[in-house]
This record gives sequence, C-alpha cells and structure tokens, in this order.
Amino acid sequence: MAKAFETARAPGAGPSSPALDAAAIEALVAGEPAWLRDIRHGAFSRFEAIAGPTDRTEGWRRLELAHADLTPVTPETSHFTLSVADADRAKGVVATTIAQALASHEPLVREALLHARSGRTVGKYSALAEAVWQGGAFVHVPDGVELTAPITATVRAGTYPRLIVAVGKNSRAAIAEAHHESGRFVSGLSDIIVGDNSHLTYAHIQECGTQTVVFSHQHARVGSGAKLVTLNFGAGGALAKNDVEVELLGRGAESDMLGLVFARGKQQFDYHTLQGHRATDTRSDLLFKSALDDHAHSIYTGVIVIEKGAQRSDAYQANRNLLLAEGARADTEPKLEIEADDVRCTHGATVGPIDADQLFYLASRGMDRETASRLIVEGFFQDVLDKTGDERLTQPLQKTFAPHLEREA
Amino acid sequence: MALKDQQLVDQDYRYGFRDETANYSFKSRKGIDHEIVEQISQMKNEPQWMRDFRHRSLDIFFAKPMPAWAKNEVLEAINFDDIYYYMRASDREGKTWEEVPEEIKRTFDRLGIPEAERKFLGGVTAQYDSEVVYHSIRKDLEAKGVLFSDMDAGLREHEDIVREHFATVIPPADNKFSALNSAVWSGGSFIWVPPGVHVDIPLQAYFRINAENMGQFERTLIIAEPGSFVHYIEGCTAPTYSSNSLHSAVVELIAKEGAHIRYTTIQNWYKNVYNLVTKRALAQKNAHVEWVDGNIGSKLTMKYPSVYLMGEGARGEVLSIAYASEGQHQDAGAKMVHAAPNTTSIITSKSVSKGGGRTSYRGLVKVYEGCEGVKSNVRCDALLMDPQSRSDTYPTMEVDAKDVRVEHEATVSKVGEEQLFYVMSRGLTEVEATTMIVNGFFEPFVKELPMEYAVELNRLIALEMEGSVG
Repeated sequence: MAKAFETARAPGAGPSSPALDAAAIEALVAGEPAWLRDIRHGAFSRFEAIAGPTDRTEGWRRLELAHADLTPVTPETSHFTLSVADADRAKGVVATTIAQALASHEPLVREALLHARSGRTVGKYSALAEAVWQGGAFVHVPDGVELTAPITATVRAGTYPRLIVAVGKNSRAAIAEAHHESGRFVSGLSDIIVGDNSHLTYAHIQECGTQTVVFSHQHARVGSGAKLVTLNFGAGGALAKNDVEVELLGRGAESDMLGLVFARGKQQFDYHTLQGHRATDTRSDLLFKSALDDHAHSIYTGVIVIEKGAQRSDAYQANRNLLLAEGARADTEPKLEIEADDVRCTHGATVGPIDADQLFYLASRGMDRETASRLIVEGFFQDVLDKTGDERLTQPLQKTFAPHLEREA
Repeated sequence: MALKDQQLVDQDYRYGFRDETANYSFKSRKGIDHEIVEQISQMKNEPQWMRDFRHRSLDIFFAKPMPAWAKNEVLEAINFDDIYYYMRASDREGKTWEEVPEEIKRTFDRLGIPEAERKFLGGVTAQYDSEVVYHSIRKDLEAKGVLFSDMDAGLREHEDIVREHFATVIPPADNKFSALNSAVWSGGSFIWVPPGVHVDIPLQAYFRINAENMGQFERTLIIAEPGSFVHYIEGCTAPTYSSNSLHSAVVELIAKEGAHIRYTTIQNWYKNVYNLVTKRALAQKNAHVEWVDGNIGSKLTMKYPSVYLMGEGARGEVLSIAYASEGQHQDAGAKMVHAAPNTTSIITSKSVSKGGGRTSYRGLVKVYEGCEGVKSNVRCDALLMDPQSRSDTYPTMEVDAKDVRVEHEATVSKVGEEQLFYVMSRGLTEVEATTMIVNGFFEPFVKELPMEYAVELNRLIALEMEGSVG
C-alpha cells in the first residue's frame, strides 16, 4: 500500500566539495533563491565565529572529547526514503526533495528555514549543517487532512541531512524520521511547523553507528490550539549531541516532549531541550528517560522559558536516569526561566539504580535477576511510549526498542 | 506603587541610616595594589606567611577573569578602583561596653546589641566596618575552652590553629572574589570548639558597612573538633548609600568527625550592596553541617553555600530563602559535593520575586565515583508576585556512582487564587492575606531561626508586602 519515494539528488551540487569556505558555500547556492543564500552565508559565519569546543566550553565540558573526532566531513547530498500511504498522497500530502519544494512550495520552505534557528542554542555544528546541507526532504500535510498512516522518512545517505515537516491547519499527522548513518560524522537538521489546531506526532529515531559522532538540531514551531508530540529515541552514535527545541507561538499551543535513551559501552548522549512558552495559555510536558549501562554517560540540560506576557502557561519537565552499571554516569540540569507570574511550572530530576525492592519483589515471584531487570527497564520506558498516545507510531517503534531492551538487561 | 514602596522602606527601614565616618582612625586610599595589601598587613602586624599569602592572592585576583557563567552586566559594573579596601574605626578594641566609642555605641544601640546581650545571647562580636570594636565572650564559653574572637585576634593569639586551617577549605584561587578577600581580608569571626564540647547558645556577630564605597572583606573560620556542636549566627544590616558597596566575605567551616555546625545568616544589606560571598564547609566522617541562609537585601547577591562531604556518613543541609524586589537580583543556591560513601544531603530553597525583582536558584549536587549509598534531595519553590518579576532555576546534578538516589524538584507559581480567596473569606484584606501566605511560604525557614530573628524577619516580610497588592 505504501509506496517508497526516493529523493533525487539536488541540482548542481556534487557529492563532494573539497574545502569548507565561503567559496564552497557560493558553489552550493547556485540556482537557489537569494534569501536561502543569505541564510547559508550567515550560518557559515556563525560556524566560523564559534570556537571549537574544549573541555572547558560551557555545553561541552561534561563530554569526554579526547577520542571524538569533531573535524567536519565534506558535505554530501542527503537522500531520504519517504514512505507515504497512497491514500494520503491522494489527499494532497506532498513528500519530495527540498529542491523540488523550493520550486513548488517556496513560501512554506522559506517560512520553515527562515525561522528554523530562531531558537537559542545554535551549536557550531548545527550552524555548519545549516550552511552546507544539500538534498534533504520536504513533507507537507495540507489544511484539514487527517493521515491514514504515519509517514516515515529514513535517511539513506548524506552527511548533513535535513527534513522539513510542514503541517497546515486543522490536520492530523504522524511522522517518524529514522537515522542509521554510520560514517564518522553526521549533523542533521529537522524543521517542524504545526499549523493552528493541528495535531502532529513526530518521532526522531537515532540508531547510527556506534563510532559515529552525531549532531541533531530539531526545531518546532507550534501554532495556536495546535499540539505537537515529539519522541526522541537515542541508541546510536559514539557521541550524540542533540538540541530539541519547541516554541509554542500561538495561544493554547501544546507540546509533549518525550525522550528515551539506551546507552552502553562508552557512548555519550547529550540532550538539550527547550520548552519555549511565547504565548498565553500554552502547555508543555517533558519526560526524558535514559538507561545507562557499562561506562555510558548521559547529559541532560533542559530549559523551560516562559516569556513576559505568556500568562497561564503550564509547564512540566522531568528527567529520569537509571544507572545499570558501576561505571555509568548521568548529569542532569533541568532549568527554569520564568518571566510571567500567572504560571504553573514544575520540574524534577532523578538519578538512581534499579530499585532493590522491585528486584526483590520479582525475585520472590521466582524470576531470575536478568529477567527481572529487563522487566523493570521495560516498565521504566513503557510510560514514555504510552504518553505518545499514537499506537500506530509506537507499535513499530516497540519492535525497534526490543533488541535494545534485551541488550540493556 | 513603586514610589509608595520606597517611602515605606525609607520610613520604616530601621537600619537604613548612617553615622558620619570622619572619625575613622585609618583609611587606606581607594583602589587595590600590592602597596595597599602591604599596608594592611603592616597595620595588623601580621606574620610573614600571612603577608605572603595576601600578596599571592592579589596576583590571583588580578589574573582571574569574572565568572563566565554569570553573564551579569551588574557584575561587570563593579569599579574595583573606586573602593576602600581597609578602614579602621578606632585604634583598639573595646574590652568593655564603656570603652566603645560613643558614636559607634549609638549605631549599636539602634541595632539592639546591648539589649540582645541582656537577653544573654552569648558572645557578641560586633563588627564596625573592617575592625572588630566590641567583643565579649561569656565566661561559661571560656570555661569550656571555646575560642571565639575576631579573625585578626585569632591570628595573633592562636596562630598555630589558624595557620593549620586557614584557606584549606576555600583556597584563594577558588574564584575571583575569594582571591580578593584573601588579599585584603579584615575582621570576621574565628571560632574553635574543643572536642566533645556542646555550645548551647548561638554565637553571634553583627556586621555593618558604614562608609560610602567601603568594601567589607571579612573572613570567618569555624573549626569544630570531633564530637562538638556550635551554632553561629551572622546577621547583616547596612545603611543607605548613594553609590554601590562591595561586600565579599569568605567563610570556611570545618566539621571534624561527628561534629555538628549550624551557620545561620540573615542578609539584609541595603539595596546598593554587591554581596559576593564564598561559603564552604568540610564535613568529615559522620559530621553534620547546616547552612540556614536568608537573603532579603542587597542589589546583587551571589552566594552558594557548599558542603563537601568528605567522610563516610557525613550530612549536609542547606535551607535558604531569597526575596527580591525592584532592582534586586538574588542569585543564591547551594552545592553538595559527595566525596564519600553513604553521605546524605538536603537542599531546600524558597524564593519570592516582586516588583520586577529577580531570584535565581543555582545549585550543584555532585557524586563522585565509588560513593555508593549517597542520598540527595533538592527542592526549590518560587513565588512570583507580579508579571514584572522573574524567577530562574539552574540546578545541576552530576552523578558518577551507581547506587545512589539523587532527586530534584522545583515549582514556580504565583500566590494561588483559591488560597487568597480562602483567607480573605475569613475577613482579611488582600494585603494581609498575601502577607500571611508569603509568611507561610517562608515558614520552614523562619522556624529554624532564634525567636528575635524570626520576629524581625516576619516584620520585614510584612513591610515588603505592603503595597504589593493593588
């Protein structure tokens, strides 16, 4: 039923540009509109202006950088495999390359890309991605469309993949973006727009190679009365640094932000989240959980920002870490910045091992330690999955998680 | 409304006065360099090691940048060249009340010190600017062998104890302001409690800043030998000034095996004071350290009382409140560093922002590798009184050990409509109801204070809440 759709190579851009400099950017922009050229050059200047990270740089100092090769790789055009149900295509759903979309839906692409990095934490390597991305994919769900099946967008190739998801008004959609890149370095961008009164569930599945340095910057804008549910699943990468930023721009906008991290070996996961309340009566709820085995290390820094005038905002943020081995580490920094008074804002964070009482209880029922641990870890994650509220999306995800659960136990 | 507030404060702010300071017996010139440091050390007739320590610290101060994480334009506005670093009000310490100069006595009268003494509050170290001028220790303390004096006297009379412990908890290189304090420190309290001694009455010192552009760099060192207990209370009030004053203290606590130190602070500097303080405690095996910390005054306070839990079974607690109104930023918090197994810590922080004030909680809980059995709980609650005010929470948890339990929770909200409605339905005005709710919010802190402080704090809150409604 679902038909695979493959993005074509972006016009005029070869798979390998030799050096990273302004001239290389100029070579990329051939045929692109002037506003995009400006964005690329602006982003490249930012990339150059931000000094390379050291163990003292804020936002990096907790990471072990000694063995991570942060030298950017040559830009290669990214290709996505997009799967959209035929019935949904018939309803006007568009899934194509960004280059194609620039021709057919320029205002939408422009809106997504112009505001994409209005968030607060454009890291060095996300700025680079914004300067040099090629190819990429564009998914558009028009006004008043309810999808019959979730869309999947899987990266097939490319070093700076970019996905734009633009959902119109009064629509309902679900999309999963999957990454299995296994090169040395990848820096991806995801730009999400949810129109007024729409509902979007977005999953970001990161199962890159365990030697890969992974950067991801996800930025979402949510309109009035709309709701966005995001789920970040992290299992791959040697070092994975992610920014997940949601801005609630219209009155009554809502955001549920979920995260699941399975880490082992010497993997390092760094998630930064933003819950930006920029309008009245907005609501956000964040739950990020990680299970850390071996010498894995998780760093979570999240901030709730309630802007002046964003009265009656309601925000919650929780980060829970399960330490499964002696050498595992968890750092957590949940932050609040509140500039409106009529708000309800709470957050919480915990770090701890598997509860001994729970283990004892299961053991007393005749269960061996391994099975009991697995069940507890499963339970630890299950409520995150339940919270997505979209079984059609989580059912296939559950299959994705299963091997990781086995592995963690 | 802001004007009304200010009038209220000016009328009723009991400590918002100043005495003429023309009678200072010695005043260094403004600014800071090695010459000034040499002068201070000479005036105090200090041993060579302390003189060297001051010079070394000054070099560190010059070399250190402002903390990068603070990003505070207020901090950058401090003009270190426009500050007096040392000043002495009279030539010698008064041993009895009669010997204390009349002008200074008047200041203390208004602070209620003789009265406090009548209420047998124990040893009173009254600090007038940089030097301690009045100092009495009750005989029963002396009988127990407790040493309680100002820091300068402590250095003169008990050099061995001071030299062994001084700057071991907070080295000069810790941060820019601890380096500055180490170079120019003057006054502060020195307390040594012998093994097993339980000091029943809280020891207190009153601090004042009383000259315009006058820095106060007191240095406090409290050593509790194994099995001892001491409660120290530090209360600050400062007169009104037209330009900014810098206060940068260093407070070091050492709780040896099984010792218990409680350190209570009520900080109520006038709203032109920079209060940039480094406070840290070492807790050895089974020791217990409590910081009870109230921040009401100052323009900018940056203070993060810490407990380094170095021995198994050690316990650290911080209970703090912060109140920020117009033009104030209370950047306060706490740090708990778990460097031994089975250590526990609790941080409770409560803050109220009003009239455009800003409160920030900034904290750290760190658990080092191999420190199993650690338990830590952090709880931050913030109240916002109006749409102009701001509240931030920046907690950090770094956990490198597996069998630990580290928890953090925070809430930010305004005074609940239902709460207000309920209290007002009992016949109270909105102002009274709000005051009552805010007092209730601070209750866990207030109930830890000695009675006189609790009464005064409640009065201050009532005063601050006037005009907060309507």
